[in-house]
Amino acid sequence: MPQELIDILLRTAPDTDISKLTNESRLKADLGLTSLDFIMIMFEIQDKYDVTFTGEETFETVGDVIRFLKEKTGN
Amino acid sequence: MQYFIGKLLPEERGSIPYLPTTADLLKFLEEKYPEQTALSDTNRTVTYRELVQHAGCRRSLLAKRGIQPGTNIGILGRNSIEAVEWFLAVTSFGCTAVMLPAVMQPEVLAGAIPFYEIGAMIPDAEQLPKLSNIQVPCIGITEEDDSPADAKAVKKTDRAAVFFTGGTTGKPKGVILSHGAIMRGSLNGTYRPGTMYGQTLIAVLPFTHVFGLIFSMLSALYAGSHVAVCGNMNMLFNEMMRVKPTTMIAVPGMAEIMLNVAKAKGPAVLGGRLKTIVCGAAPVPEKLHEEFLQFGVEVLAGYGMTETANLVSGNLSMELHPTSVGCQYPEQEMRVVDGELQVKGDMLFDGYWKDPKATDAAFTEDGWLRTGDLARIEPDGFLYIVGRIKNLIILDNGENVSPEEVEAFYYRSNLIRDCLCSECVINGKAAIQLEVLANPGVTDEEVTKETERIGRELPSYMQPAKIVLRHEEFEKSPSMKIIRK
Repeated sequence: MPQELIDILLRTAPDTDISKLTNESRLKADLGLTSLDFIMIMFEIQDKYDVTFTGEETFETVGDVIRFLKEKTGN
Repeated sequence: MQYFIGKLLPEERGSIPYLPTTADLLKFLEEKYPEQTALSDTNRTVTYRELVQHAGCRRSLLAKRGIQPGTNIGILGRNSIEAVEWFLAVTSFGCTAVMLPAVMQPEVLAGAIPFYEIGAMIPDAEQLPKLSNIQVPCIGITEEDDSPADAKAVKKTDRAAVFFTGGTTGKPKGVILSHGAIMRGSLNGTYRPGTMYGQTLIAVLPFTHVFGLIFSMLSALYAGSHVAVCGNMNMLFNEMMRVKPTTMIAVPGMAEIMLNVAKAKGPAVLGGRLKTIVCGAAPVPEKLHEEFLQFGVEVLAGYGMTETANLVSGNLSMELHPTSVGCQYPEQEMRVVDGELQVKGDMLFDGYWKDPKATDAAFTEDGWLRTGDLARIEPDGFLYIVGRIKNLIILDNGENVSPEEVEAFYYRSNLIRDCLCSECVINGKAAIQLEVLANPGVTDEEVTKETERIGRELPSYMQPAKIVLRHEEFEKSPSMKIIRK
């Protein structure tokens, strides 16, 4: 998992237990992210990776976010 | 009544009449604001004339698909321009729009379609797979005919829509609203001097919520405003920066998210022109109003429920009455009987779908709606909501405690994000418990001290005997209200 993404998660939701973090971790159900956390993460991702969200994306798990970033940035 | 009429700007006063049906509304909109922008999203803009025309083309499609007036039609999906056009088309065709929440699970939907006697569904592309195993005719939300058909002769008393309520307590019920009720609710939303007429709004509250469809959409259209339609809460701030709204309609939970994002990222995320947020559907904490003022935004509280088709009261200045939900709108009545707020007027619902028992229980013998809310009306006409009757905690010493009243004290604190007051048993006696979720970065020690400090300020019978610190969010309804177990 990209360290930058872990940093964003920890900055936004400091209580996240990263030892349990996998691609399958569900953002709300497993990591306990709130609607506000989620919006703040989107802001951070937009700034950090210079990507734009369309509103069509569905992010349920950490893996969904990683896949989105791969598609948008090619990394 | 003078509270509102007297404050409307001269050009606003009397500029819009009460229209009894959505068919009348469409006619009015086309005549009054033909070339103005009615709706927009990230891809397109629709003028009032085009909106009315699209509604007509969708009516024409209903006729071609053999759908008869009187049919119940389910609308299922995220907020979209098409959903607005379909709502207006379905209702002005003499059908009933059943506003199904997009979060509905397929198995619940499979039960709801026969229960609500839905004869056709209009799902968006995302929702379509949920209907794959259900035998019901479907019309794609983007479909329409090439030429418009006239509206049907609908009446004020005709059924127009079914909305769901009861998300925070018990089983959801289908609330039946007539054309007359929806249009009174729409007109109520326009009693906002200088903040509803010719404004820019973002409709982000789901259209399955009366506040989302009636207030932030129909009231805004009634007043010739431009409404940007937002189907995804996560995109709200991109939309705010794009359309630069001047007025927003929000539930308190959403307004709080807006406040926290503005604090973290700077006020530019609100677009730079926002003046007013009208808040209702749940208690509005005082601190929300106070903290928004730093960004030049006034949060105004109102009171309403699904059964009243929108707000029935509104506060035009929180400076003067910081904890009031305002005064009643014109053409409706309010009274308090045995502590309970009761209301009357043509904005009231017709009943709960297939639930005559609950419908009977909702009304008094002389036709007033029992709101179930504890309230007081001050001599100056201002309404104050104290709490829900069914949430009342009755202590062994006979004291009645409203949990919402206790929570309001704690919500004033900047350290506390959410709290929930409930009954617990200590040494065999009923007592008050308070669960508290602190704001990010606040330690357990800090929040404990804070709850102790607030506790000492409360009258003794209201002081919680037990404080539980939470570290995970409370379970909430789609309208962001904490679910009381």
